[in-house]
Amino acid sequence: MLFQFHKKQFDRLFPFYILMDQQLTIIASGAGLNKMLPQTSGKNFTECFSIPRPIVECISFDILKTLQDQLVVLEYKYLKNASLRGQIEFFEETNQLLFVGSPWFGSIEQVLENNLTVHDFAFHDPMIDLLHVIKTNEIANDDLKQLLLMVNHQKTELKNANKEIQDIALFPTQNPDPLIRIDLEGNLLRRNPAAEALKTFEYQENTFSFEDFFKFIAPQIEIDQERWFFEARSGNHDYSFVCKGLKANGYINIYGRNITQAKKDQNELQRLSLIIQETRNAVIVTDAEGKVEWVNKAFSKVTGYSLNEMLGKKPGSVLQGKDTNPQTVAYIREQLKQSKPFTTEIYNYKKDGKGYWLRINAQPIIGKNGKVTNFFAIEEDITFEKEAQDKLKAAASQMSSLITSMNSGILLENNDRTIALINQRFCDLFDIPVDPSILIGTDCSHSAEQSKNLFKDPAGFVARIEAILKEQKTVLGDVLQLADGRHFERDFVPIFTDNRYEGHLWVYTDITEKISTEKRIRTQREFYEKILDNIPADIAVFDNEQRYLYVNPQGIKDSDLRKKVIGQKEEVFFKLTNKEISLAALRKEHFRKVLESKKLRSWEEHITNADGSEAHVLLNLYPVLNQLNEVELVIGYGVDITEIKNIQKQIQQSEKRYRDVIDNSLAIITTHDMEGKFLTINPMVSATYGYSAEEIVGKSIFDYMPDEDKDLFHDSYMKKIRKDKNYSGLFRIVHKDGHVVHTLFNNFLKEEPGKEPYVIGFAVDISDRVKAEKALEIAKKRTEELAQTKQNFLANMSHEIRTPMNAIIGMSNQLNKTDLNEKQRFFLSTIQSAADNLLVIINDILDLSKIEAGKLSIENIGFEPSLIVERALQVMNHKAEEKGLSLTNSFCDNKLSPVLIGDPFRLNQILLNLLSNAIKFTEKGSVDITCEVIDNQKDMQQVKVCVKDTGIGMDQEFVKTLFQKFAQEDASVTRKFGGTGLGMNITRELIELMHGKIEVDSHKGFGTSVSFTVPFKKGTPDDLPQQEATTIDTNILAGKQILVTDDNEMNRLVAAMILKEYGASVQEAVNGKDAIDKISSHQFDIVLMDVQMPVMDGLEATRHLRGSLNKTMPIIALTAFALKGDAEKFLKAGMNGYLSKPFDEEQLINLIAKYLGKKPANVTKVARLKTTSNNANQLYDLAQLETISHGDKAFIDEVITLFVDQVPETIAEIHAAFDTNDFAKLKMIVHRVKPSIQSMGIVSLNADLLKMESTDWDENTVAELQTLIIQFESTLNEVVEQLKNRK
Amino acid sequence: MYGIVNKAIEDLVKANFGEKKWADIRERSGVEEDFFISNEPYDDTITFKLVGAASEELNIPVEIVLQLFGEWWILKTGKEKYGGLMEAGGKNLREFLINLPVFHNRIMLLYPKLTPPEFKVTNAAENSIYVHYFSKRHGLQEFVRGLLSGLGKMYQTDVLVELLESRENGKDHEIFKVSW
Repeated sequence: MLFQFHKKQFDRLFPFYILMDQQLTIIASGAGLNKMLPQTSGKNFTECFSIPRPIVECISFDILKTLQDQLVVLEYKYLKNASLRGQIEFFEETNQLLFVGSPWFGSIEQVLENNLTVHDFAFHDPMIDLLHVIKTNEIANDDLKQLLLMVNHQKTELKNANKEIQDIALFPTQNPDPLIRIDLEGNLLRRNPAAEALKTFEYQENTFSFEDFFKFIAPQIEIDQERWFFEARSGNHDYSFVCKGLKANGYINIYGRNITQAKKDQNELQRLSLIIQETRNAVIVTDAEGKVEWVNKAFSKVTGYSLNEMLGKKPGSVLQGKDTNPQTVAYIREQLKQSKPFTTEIYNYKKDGKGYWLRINAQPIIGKNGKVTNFFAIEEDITFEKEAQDKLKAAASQMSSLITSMNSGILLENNDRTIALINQRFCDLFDIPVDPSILIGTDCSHSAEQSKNLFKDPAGFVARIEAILKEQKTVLGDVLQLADGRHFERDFVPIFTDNRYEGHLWVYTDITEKISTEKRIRTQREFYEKILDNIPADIAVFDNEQRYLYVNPQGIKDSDLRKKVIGQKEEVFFKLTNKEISLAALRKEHFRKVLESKKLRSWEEHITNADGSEAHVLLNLYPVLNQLNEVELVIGYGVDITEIKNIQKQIQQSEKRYRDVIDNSLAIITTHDMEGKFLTINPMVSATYGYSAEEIVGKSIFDYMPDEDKDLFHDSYMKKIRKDKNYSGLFRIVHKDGHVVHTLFNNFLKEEPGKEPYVIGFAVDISDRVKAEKALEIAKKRTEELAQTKQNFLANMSHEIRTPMNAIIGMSNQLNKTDLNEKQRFFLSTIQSAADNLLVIINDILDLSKIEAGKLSIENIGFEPSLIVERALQVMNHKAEEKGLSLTNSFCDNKLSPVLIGDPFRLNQILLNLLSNAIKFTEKGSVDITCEVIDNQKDMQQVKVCVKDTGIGMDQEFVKTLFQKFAQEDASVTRKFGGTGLGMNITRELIELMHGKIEVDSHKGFGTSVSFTVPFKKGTPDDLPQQEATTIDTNILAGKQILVTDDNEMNRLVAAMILKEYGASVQEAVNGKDAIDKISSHQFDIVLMDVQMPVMDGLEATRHLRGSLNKTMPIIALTAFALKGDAEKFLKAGMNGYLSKPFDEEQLINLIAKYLGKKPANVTKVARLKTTSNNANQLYDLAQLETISHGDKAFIDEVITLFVDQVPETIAEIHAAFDTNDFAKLKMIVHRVKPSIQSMGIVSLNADLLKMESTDWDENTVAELQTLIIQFESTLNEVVEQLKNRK
Repeated sequence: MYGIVNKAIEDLVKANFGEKKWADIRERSGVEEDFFISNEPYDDTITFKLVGAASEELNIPVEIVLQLFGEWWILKTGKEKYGGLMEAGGKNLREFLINLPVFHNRIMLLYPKLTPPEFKVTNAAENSIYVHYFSKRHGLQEFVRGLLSGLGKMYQTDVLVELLESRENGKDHEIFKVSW
């Protein structure tokens, strides 16, 4: 049998084989071997391996061949632990040697170390398993070691336990107390040595032998009880035996104890207990922790608690309460803790809640071991003792507190002159700087000497003290003066008890303040008396029976008499002074009334003095009431009022004089109350108004006012005078004869305390002056009317002139298109030139009339300033060229904002005027324009434009009048240069309307420089007005039906001629009515409509056409007089556009072409800088809609139909809102339709919609809104039309 | 089960929860053996009692105890007791798992008293493999899950072990999908 293997197969079976040729070169080796020893392949066997087993002398092919029958071990030379174990086989056919075997490892770790895994070994190779077995054996060995350790450990533990058991067994034999075990019958089973010593037992007065005793006792033992015990005596000792039955074991353990001493102690204790039990004081015995073990009867009697109630409790927890002093409790606790005896007093509570004081004497009972076993306390009820003590203490404390707080210094001396008591005040008074308590008990026999220097008379102080002490008698009220000015009062009180001198008391009081108060009161009294004595009025004080208590020297000058009357009634004084007794009776009556009313009473007395002089006295009696509201005193005082009486008389005379002045005044002088009722009037009132004083006084001014003025009286006059206190104005008063008197008044409100307010009025009759003013007013009005007439005249004139001018210019232009010879062309050119000049003049006049009428307003729109300058230069350039002048713009400020907000048309007009003047008055040289920003703010710019020429210049005198109307330097100028002389005036007006100013600097013969500065707001490109894309196809006119409506035949002719030239078919109408008639019967593509026409004007005709006739063709207004706001008027009436006359041909054709365009209009408004839609004429863009609908045509059609249907409704709603000024609603509608307009892509309306929606419209801006609405409507209608016609 | 299994449980508890806990668990389990000899077969119920008691005593579900035990078996018992034997099973997790059935068969022969489970692998992909577990014993599938995740840890590879099929669902063996 021959085996054949592939290398792979052989590898799997023997992954560690080695195949060598005859030279021992390794020509093949197994995969496992290659992994393990990758360096061997191709090398010589001997280089790599040695053969430790079997031992060979040298390695050669032949020797290896001999090893075929042996186990061969190969060792790799270059690595430790890399051996192979196997066998060698020789192949004769190939002359090769094959080694098959397997690595020989000592541990599984070596497998890894040699870069091998289990899978590198052939499955049949048990090498790995061998290693595993080795490992398992190792584990088993480890287990055994552990087990052995455990067994050893347990053995040791067992030994220890054994020893312990032995010790335990020994324990009872060593016990000095007898231990006995008997069976249940009492037979002895076991006993310890101590028990063996007991030979006999005395029990219940019988004596037993050991054996008999337990047989006797065994039946009595209650075996089921936990412990059963008995006492017996043996020898000279008493024993207690505790029996513990162990029924299951069949025996009883008996534990004996020698209680001889305990018995003795118990007896002793019983005796002591009896004593303690019966003692009157409460006795408590506690354990070492303070818990009650026993209390005696007295305790229960005192506290109410029985022994049972107290057992096991700490006395404090039962007896102490809220007023128990915690410090005492802490003290007791501490003493107990330290096992110290103590005595203390404590407040406790009885069972019934009553408090009581007790004194505790407690001491520890020390056991034999030196430790406290118990505490023993005797408690004595000391409540009565305590109460007595407290009362005494309280009294002493009160006394001490009284003395301490006394305002007097107290010194109580004992009879040995030591201090028994002294208070702080005493120390203060005598400057003793120590606490009074320190001084108690100290000797004070030298105190007088020590403090004598405090006193003004030190020696006297000491002597007096000695004398007092010697006398030992009470001394009160000694006043002592101190060196510092104070005063002390001193009392001395000797103290005797049972006639025995015990000591004495000193009382010192500081009376400085008292002395000074007394002095002050005295001084004050003297002061008031002095005042009363010197008051220049009679003052007397009476008691309530009218007896004098006091009278001042003014009242009774004679001092003797004054003294005499005190205590006397007033009659006595009257008698003594021999005064009229009736006066005394009168005064008595007044006195009585004062007593009765208890109020002040005053009266005057007229006295004739002894010298015959008369005196007036005002007497007053004033009651002084006591707390019971009774009159206690009455103060009488009299004042001499003779002088006052005299003054009053003088005032009356003076008043009469003023009255005369008023009565004779030419002014109207009145007073009236706050209702307008006259209080007083002077005679001038009657003279002016014709009414007598009786007719007026008591009536109101109101009553004399014309009915139409009456409202003013309360609404204006009275309100104003109350508020402002004075009022000047005009009253119209109806004279008694009926005519109206114009009265200029100046009235004042008088408010005086205690009086009703009233008004003093001063007035004059100004009827004549009023008459004159009226005449003046009429004259002024007439003048103004005249001026207005002039303006109207100017305006009308210009209109009247412009109309034929239209014909002249139009016809001239037409004529110019015909074949003319040289002469005719010259004539025609002269006519055209003259017409142009005339037009300038007319425009100037028109502007002027607008300015004067205040109808010229300035636009505020965005414009490009550089473009304006550029255009003006362009326009004027040919004129400059004609004269050979250079026209330049030498400077244009680069700060100039690209866009400004202002009126570009008027600015253009100003520039043209200044440039044309400069060119006109310059023969040679140049005209230059500069443009400079002189103030550049964030939002605005001040722009200065200067036009400078090298012309003829002006006199300084003329420069001053340059801006007057019709100003030209002299007549020759008019002749030579033409012009109206209005240009500069208009220019200045325009500049001023723009809030700017103009300046002229001119030198005769050298030239002129005119500059103006105007402030402009800065704008952005968005502010620029939308431009119309003018892609007009004029061929569109061909074959169109056009109606020209104008009352002026020439104008009709001009228009018709022009239009016909472009192939239009023209009909004419002479007024609005005519036009309506013609339009009713004929289809026109467009209508030109003059505005001012007789019979029916253009606006009315248009309204008619748009309204009842429902005509939709474009109507273009032709007007010679377009003011601001007219455009809106035209558009509102239904016109589509307008043209000013005279118009030029190009304007007319373009406008018409625009409206005829592609039906009905081909004009599309596009925002500057924005792209147009694909079709320049298409106003809508469906791209958005197509995107939304993904090109769903049906959907788009539906949306469009909806939109087309909505438009008329929306427009009607907007008009309705506008007509009712309901701007909020209008904005709401706009807001509502905005999305559909945007979805239709009508971009031309975006800006208008935004403006309509975002502006707060009011009556000032309504015109702008109207324009927007018209544009909105027009655009939407066009869109609708376009949508209807779209493919 | 060989004593080494119970010993491993003992080591796991002692190492993580202390000697006292092991005493409590043994007490609770009612197992009387003080010592397990690694190479001696013991009744399976001993192992189940110990696992059950550990679950109750440690207040950890049995499944988690088995998972912990599975990981412990690989990382501690395998590595510490058998040294390089585990690592000799393959150079990486995938290799080890592919060779797992052969490896296991080899070991099985060394333990004649073993009632060995059988492993098969299928669906070997680059980052996952299906391990089929056939066993006569019930309730040790979570132990196998722990073994598989322990292997992941041994080869320091994050693994996800999902039980795709189970005898509980009427199949005849468990299939784990091991992904890494």
